[in-house]
Amino acid sequence: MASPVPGTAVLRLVSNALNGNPESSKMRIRRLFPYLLRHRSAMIAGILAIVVGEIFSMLGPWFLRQAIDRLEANQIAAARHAALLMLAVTVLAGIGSFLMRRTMIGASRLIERQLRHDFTAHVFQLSPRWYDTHKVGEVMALATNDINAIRMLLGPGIMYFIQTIITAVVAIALMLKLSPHLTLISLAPLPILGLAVQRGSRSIHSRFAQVQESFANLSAYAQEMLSGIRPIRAYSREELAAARFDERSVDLLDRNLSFVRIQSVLRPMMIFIAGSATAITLYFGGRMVIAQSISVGTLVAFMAYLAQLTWPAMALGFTINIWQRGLASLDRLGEVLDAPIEIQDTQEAVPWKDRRGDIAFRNLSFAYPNTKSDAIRDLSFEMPAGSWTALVGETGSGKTTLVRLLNRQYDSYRGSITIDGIDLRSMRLDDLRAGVGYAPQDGFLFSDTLRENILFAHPEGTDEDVERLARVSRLEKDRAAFPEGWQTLVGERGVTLSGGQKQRVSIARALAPDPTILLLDDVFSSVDNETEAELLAQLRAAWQGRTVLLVTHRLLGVKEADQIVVLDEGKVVEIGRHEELLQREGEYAALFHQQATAAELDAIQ
Amino acid sequence: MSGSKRSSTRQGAAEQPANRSAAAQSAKRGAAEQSAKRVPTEKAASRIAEATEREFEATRDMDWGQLRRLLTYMRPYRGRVSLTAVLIVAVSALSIVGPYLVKVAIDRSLQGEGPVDQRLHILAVVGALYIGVLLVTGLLSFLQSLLLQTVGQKVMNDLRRQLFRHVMRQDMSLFDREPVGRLMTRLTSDVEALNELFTSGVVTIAMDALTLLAIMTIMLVMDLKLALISFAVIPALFALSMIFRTRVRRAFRRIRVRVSRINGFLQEHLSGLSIVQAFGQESRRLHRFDSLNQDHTEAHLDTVAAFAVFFPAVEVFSTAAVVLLLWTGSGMVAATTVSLGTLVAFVQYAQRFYRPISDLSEKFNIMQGAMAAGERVFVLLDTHPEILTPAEPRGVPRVKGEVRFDRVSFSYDGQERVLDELSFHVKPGERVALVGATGAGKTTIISLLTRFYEIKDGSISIDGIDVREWDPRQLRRQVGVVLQDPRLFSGSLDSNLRLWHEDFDQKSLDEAVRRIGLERVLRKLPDGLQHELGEGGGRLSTGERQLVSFARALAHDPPILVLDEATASVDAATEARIQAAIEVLMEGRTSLVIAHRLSTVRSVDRILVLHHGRLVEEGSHDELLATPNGIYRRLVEIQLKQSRQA
Repeated sequence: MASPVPGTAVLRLVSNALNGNPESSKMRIRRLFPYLLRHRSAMIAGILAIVVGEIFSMLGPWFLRQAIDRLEANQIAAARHAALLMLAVTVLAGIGSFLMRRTMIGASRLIERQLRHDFTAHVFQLSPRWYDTHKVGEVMALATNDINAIRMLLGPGIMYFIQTIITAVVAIALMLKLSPHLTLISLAPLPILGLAVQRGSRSIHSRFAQVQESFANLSAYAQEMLSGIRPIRAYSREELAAARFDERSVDLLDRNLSFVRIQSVLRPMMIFIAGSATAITLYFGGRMVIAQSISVGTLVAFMAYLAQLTWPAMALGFTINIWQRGLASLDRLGEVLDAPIEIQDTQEAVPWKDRRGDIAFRNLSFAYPNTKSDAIRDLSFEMPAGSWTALVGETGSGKTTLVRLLNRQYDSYRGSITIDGIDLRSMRLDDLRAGVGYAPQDGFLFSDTLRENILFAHPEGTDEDVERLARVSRLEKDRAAFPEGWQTLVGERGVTLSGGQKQRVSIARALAPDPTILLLDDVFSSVDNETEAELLAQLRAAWQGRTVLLVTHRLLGVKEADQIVVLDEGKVVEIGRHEELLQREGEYAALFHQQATAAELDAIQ
Repeated sequence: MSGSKRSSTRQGAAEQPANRSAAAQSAKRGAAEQSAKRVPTEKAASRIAEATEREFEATRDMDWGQLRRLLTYMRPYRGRVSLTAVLIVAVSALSIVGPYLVKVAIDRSLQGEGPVDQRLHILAVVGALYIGVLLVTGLLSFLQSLLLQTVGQKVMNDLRRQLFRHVMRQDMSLFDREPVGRLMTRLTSDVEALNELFTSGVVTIAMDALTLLAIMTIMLVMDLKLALISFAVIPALFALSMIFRTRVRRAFRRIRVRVSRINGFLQEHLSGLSIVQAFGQESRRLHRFDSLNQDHTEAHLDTVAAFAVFFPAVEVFSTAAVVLLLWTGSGMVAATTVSLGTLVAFVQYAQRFYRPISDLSEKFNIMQGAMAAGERVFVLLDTHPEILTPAEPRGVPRVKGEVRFDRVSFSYDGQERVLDELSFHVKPGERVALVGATGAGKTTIISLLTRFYEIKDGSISIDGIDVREWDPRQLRRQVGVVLQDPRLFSGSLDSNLRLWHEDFDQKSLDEAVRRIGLERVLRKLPDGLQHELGEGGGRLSTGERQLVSFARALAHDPPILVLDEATASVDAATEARIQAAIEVLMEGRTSLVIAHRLSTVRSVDRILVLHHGRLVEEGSHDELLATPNGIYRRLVEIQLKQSRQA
């Protein structure tokens, strides 16, 4: 049991305690190596500070022993001298401790920054397909709770771990020097402490992971309910929604209670075991004093050392906690960091040099992951450079899907999409993004100024650009509604824009980088008809020379399109100019007559 | 004890205003510094920052009223809480036994006079006592921790549930005002912080204070002079803690602001990631994120420095106490006015001083953050809905469907009137179309009919009963609303139709699916009705989501049907299918349709033409057509002209 070198025993115990499965923990930790390496000088300096600081710190009881022994021998001056030395070493130890924190905790903050940067950079690049199966709330939990837990591991976790080892090594070495016999007796409870810690901490890991999981679940639920309050209210489901929240809250409670139980056992148990070492020392050491084999001062110093070791022993529990949480979080973070970036440049990525805007779809088929049927089926058509294509069709016929494919949001299609003869998947992504302007259905804006939103994809744009884009997108019309003009903040802390205003900002944003291809996905749904007509007229001037794909439900505005593509269940059912399609008296003609332009209703006033 | 508590209460109360204004000043100063440094293009960012900072300005030190309020949440667990209190006192008291036993051992046994056997016997007794006390302490502190943490978790659970239920019951205007993210913070981290306030804050402070008190008491009892000498460092320790506390408090406030900025940024960019990616702005946005990230790190580095100074300084002070003791004590031991054992015990006690004191300052920080969180939670809990169920609600299980608006005026913001003395009447079973430009007040009519907002002037009644006299739940059962933006929830399609109502009539549900033509959508999904939708309805298209919300309304079979521009983003063919279904649905139902299409308008009994919240024309299609120069007539003329063009 009692290892010949107690220091290594501690080490082994600690490493065992950290994880039931040392293999996997080593693997996970490896992910952090590059970060630690980058801050190796701080880490090494910190370790040096710990070593020096702990040596001075452990000299304290040494001088305490001297003081008491001198006192016993009635050498008052010598006793006072020893006491002053004690103060001196404590000051030096304090300097070491200061440097330790400055370097190691400081480094952990810098690594945290880097880790958060890397994480954000990665999640910014993950594809829509990945987000189909992961909630934003989950990613947020990772970016906050989990990165914090990893930071704790890197800072206090590593620092206390090393401090514990060094304290133990130095204290035990000095104790051995004082009395090898008493050292062995007094440290006897240590292996038990290690064993207890190991037992207890094993379940902490899994229980904490369960707590985190339940918490993420609860947050995601609450977020969804709060955002969906209107239908909940309309159907009087507030109580039901609250009851469902209760279930999740109670689940979180149960898991927390199970976590708390382990936590509550661990600490008192460790204090007891560590304290029993003091009791043993008092008894056996006392006998040795009576037998005059050691002095009272030595006994007191021993007890002081044990007290010093109690803190690391307790810190060990704390540290293990930090490590367990950190490793659990590292697992979760790792899953996201390891998620492949699906949409990125291959090594043979072709630049899009001569931007004309010829688009061709050839036998294109596509199914969303986890769905049975194809959203796009064997679709082929061309959009010549500079032409204007209107994409119409029923809800769910694949219009938005086609826009998303052309925008390379999903890669997993069959058949081909080419732009200017370049296969979409082999075109340099930056070129594609720069050359394709996109205005989505919902017109998502950032809580920033209107100007920043308009120049989102063209940050170097000037005030004149903003004016021009506002004119083209007919946003100018509403200028009076914006208290600070284009510097007005949008969203939570600024003005709330109407759906139509948002869509117009979104159009301006799409036009800002002067794209060769313009994708407008149902962007007129929230603007009134008058605005739509104006907008179309303006836009048509602005989109001269660009290849335009306009998804719309309102057929009034697309009569003059170069071609109209009618989709049904992912297939092209009709294609041609307005007049041709009307003559054909097929789907389009039916749609057109049905609409009968009653949408002018609003405009009449 | 009670005396000191009272005086600290007074002190706390006196501190508040000063602290609050100091906090406000420092926040303003911070904002000013920042905006001065920023270039004009970053003006917006700094304005957002100021707003965030303002949100944290309420941060204050101690609020005993709040603490008392928190204690009311302990009431259901008062048995456990009182037991915890007893255990805390016991554990604190036991903590002083160890050094005393050491004193006894040294004086009576190690240096004792008498036969060796007797001295060994005393040593054995002391050793056994020491172990016994340890064991008892361990058991008691285990119990104490378990009880305390359990109560903490349970209270948190109670509070979380209360808060969520409370928020769900609030008026719609709260949701217009408060962004979801902020409500989420109240619900998660603020509640968590309140738990900290109790478990790590109040209780640990009590425990530390009691331990300190116990140590001081026994020292005074053992030797007055040595006791007073050891106490000499206490004021210095407290002063140090105060300085530290003030410094760290400021830093922590800064950290909270910056954390919230980072989270806001990330949340927003993840929600709008498709835009970021579509424009290839990932790296530019990341660059912007980096500056927030950097600010956050810098704020933390400030606290690192503070902690790095504080902990060693405390250690030095406590050693200074020991050195003082040894210095003075050595003379006293030599003069045999105190025993060696007493001096050793004092040294051990003095070493135990510093932990409670340094803990105290750390805990005050936790408390301070938690106080701010608590304040935000309680402010939310103190918000009460204006729209309440009357004490004696009137209403009938199923109305005939008569709707009456009588001189209703309404404004969302108290300034701009959305409805202006609007009066109209809909007979049971009648179909009415609402027609008018955006902003004419059509959507508002629906929100008021379902009593989402309270009207100040006029009255709205269903079957002759004012909506304010109804139980809102029963009222809303009468009115089936298909909202502009169909909102679906994660979970199966089935649960979206029944909206989690487990006893929902399966037949009416299947019927609704059939009549709406949802089968067409279901065919595409692998598990049909059991298909799990992602957040916000997953990958269903806008139109498909709308179909689901139609089926949902249909399944609920309300006597009054309201369609709110539901046809706006559905293509004509889908709309035709839905309209056919709605035709059937409208049978025997009062129907209010916000119409966009003539086909709808033609099929209704009466048309209400609204303009700026006023009713400007009213009548059947034919009647309105016969009105010379009527708005409706002009509309139809335009339409005819256009269809001729086509």
